[in-house]
Order: sequence, then C-alpha cells, then structure tokens
Amino acid sequence: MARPEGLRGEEEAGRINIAKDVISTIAALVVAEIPGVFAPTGDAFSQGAVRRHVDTELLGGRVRLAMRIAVEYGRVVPELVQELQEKVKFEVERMTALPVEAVDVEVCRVVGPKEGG
Amino acid sequence: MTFLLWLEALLLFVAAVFAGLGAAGFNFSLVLGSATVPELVVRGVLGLFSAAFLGGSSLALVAWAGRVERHRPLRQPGPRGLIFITPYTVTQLASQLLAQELETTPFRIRLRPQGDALSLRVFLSLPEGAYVPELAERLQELLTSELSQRTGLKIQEVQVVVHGTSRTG
Repeated sequence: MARPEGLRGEEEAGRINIAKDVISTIAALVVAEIPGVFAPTGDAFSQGAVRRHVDTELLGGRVRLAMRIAVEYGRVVPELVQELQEKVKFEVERMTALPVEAVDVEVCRVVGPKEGG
Repeated sequence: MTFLLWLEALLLFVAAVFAGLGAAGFNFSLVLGSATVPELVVRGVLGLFSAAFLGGSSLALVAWAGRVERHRPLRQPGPRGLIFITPYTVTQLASQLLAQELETTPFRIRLRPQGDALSLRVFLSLPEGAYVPELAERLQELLTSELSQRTGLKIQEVQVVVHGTSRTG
C-alpha cells in the first residue's frame, strides 16, 4: 500500500512519518478556534473543509501552508489573518516539530454576522 | 469565466476551419444560378470569414483576460506569510458600508485592481434632497478610510457616478 505523502525525520528510536493531511488537519482545527474566521462557504471551519480549503506543501523539510477562508463582517482583515498565521505556525511547529516557512491565507469573502454557522 | 474560454476556443476552431478550407487545394468555383463565382472570390470570402472569427476569438480572449485581472486576489505580505484578499471580499465590504450609509438608495459597485491597489466606481441614484458634491465626498472618505483600515489595501481612487435620482416614501 502506498504511504501518504509526508515528511520523514530520522530519530534515534526510528523513523517518523507525518502525512500532509495531518498538518492540514492541525491547521484547520486551529483556524476553527479563532473567532471571526469561517470556511469560504460561510460555515464553521470543520475537518471536512480541510481537503478543499487547506493545502500543505513540503519544501526541503519545511512546511508551507495555503488556506482559503471567509471573515466575519466588521473584523480588521490583516489583524485577524496575522493572528491566524501566528497561531497556525505555532501549533503546527509545536505538534509536529517541523519548521513552518509560511502560512499563506486567501480571504475569499465576508460573512454577515447572522450568516456564520 | 469558463464560458469566455470556451467561446474563444470555438471561434478559433471555426476560424481555423475557414482558413483551412481557403488554403486547401480544392476547386472552389461556385455556380450560383447562371453565374459562376470564380475560385479567387470564394477563397477571399473564406479568408474574410476566417479573419472575422479570429477577431471574435481575440475579443473573447481579451474579455477573459480582463475578467481574470478583475478577479485576481490582491496580495500583501504578512510577517508569517502572504495575505490575499479577493476583489469579491472588498466589494462585499464596500456594499455593507454603503448599505449602512445610503440606506434605501440603490447602488452598484465596480472594482478594478491597479497593481496592488484598488480603484472603485460607485453608481448610484441621487437620494432626494442630497447635494451631489457633499454626498460624493462623504462616500469617498468613507470607502477610502474604512476599506484601507479593514483590509490594509491601498485605495487608489473612488469615483462616484450619479446616474439618476431616487425618491423615498
């Protein structure tokens, strides 16, 4: 069976493989916790949204994430996105010990206060 | 957007068919009633058709490129990665701001990215009793300051186009 594509590290006790999906899921779970951030559909950022809205690239042992989001109306976009980037980077690095090169974020739309689920 | 690409491909195909027919070595002399149309004229007409479809195809391509440009997300660097904001997001923000400001007055927004900045054009009907220069200045100030503050993007210009009057009540 083909192994999922991911990063490999050599440890003393053996080899560690981390699949891209794992990194994407960690990122999505972090994003789901941030108030004012939604999936581009306007729904809450669920695990189901991971494959469609979070891309993980592995470049020479470093992680680069790209995600698409919607923001709640009234939020200051750069501040909110920077908070998201910081939290995603911190959590992915903490949980995987892989360096995160960048978290690119595309804001696709604005969600009205009553719209967000 | 995909429609324009298909249209472009179709027009290009038809242009190629006409060009191919014109260039082929067939005998194209036509008999229309009692008159015979010379081969050179037939080839010329096919060439004209081909050129017309090629022109149409080019126009579709230009329209498609324009649309791609208008929908291109605007990029700004952040400390931990890039931040992209789609023009649709900015249009939504501008619409919410204008809806609060103008209440029932109908309006329409067109947005054009200019490098990493934006220019906006607002089309609206003049609310009853409103003074155009004062209204335009208020809207320009509102959109420029609020949009730059909320998105971090540079707003190059805001044009207000009054295309009619509206009556309330």
